[in-house]
Amino acid sequence: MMPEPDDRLDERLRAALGDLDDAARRQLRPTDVRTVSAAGRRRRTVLAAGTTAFVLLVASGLFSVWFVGPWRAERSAAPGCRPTTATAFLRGDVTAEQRERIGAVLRASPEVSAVHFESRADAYENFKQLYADAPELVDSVRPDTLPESWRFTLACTGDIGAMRQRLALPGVDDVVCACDPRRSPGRR
Amino acid sequence: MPPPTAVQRDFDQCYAAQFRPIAGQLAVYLGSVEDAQEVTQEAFTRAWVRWARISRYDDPAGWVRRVAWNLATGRIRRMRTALRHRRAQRPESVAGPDPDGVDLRTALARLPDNQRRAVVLHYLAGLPVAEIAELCRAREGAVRTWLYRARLALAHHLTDGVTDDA
Repeated sequence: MMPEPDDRLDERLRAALGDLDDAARRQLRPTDVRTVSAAGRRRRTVLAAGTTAFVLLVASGLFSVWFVGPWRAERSAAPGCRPTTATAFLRGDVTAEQRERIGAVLRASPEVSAVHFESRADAYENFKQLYADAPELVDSVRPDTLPESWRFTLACTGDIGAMRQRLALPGVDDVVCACDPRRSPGRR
Repeated sequence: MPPPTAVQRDFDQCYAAQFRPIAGQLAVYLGSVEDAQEVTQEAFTRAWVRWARISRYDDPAGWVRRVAWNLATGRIRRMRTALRHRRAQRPESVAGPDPDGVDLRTALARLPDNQRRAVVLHYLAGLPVAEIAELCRAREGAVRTWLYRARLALAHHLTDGVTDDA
């Protein structure tokens, strides 16, 4: 039993495949070249129309980028300036005067774009809504359990540090920001 | 704007000279003359659209072949080929009884697609391994492996028909 030399095998393989190829070629009936050209011509018309549409689309896209882009960039001029909500929770023994003073500080702060007060009753209502799907949790909380708070919105998340310092006032228990990584107040 | 007559004439010549070689190789690969014809015609149609540019390439027929093979590969991925190979064998209208050819056809049909493609491109189209690798978007080492395995499988079928150990 002799192993067949590689080049002889290659030769035979080539010849055998060549036979298949010849047989296939004999069966081929190429279409007239004019048919192919005509198909190509139709194709080119469609392509040209498609290209025109594409160019128009790209042009209008660029147009909107050029003309809308600067306007948009101006609106979000400060990099990383995203609005956020925050809450200043008040101590249980906060006085009416302290409460008003805290509200006044918030309203006077240029960084704050919106302020409102949330009473214990409001807090309880919000809590009930927030945890409507967990009645046993709602049942565990009495209307006077939840603290009063000042809810406010910052135009820029980055200002929360300054606000914390400014809110280091008597009567403030804690300042919690929605932007805090771990704990966040109930969203309004 | 229709292509200038010189360009059209150039295309006609390429079509006349290259249709059969390209389609023939594809027929061996696809196991179907009709499919090969369809795919080749589509490739030439695409070529016509861009012929003014393609005709300036070093190897315009190479462009057509590449497109045709890509189309064929896509087609093969969509269809199971073994079935059609078997179907194609039954009514043999080609050049009388040819047991070796039928055997080889079956063997080819059983090869994995990559191997069959590499074999046809290498032995029939005469492409070097580097070009096959480029056409198949594979590494040259992979193409060599395909060729090696395909050769082993096909050699078995080729020697079966011959009594060479006396």
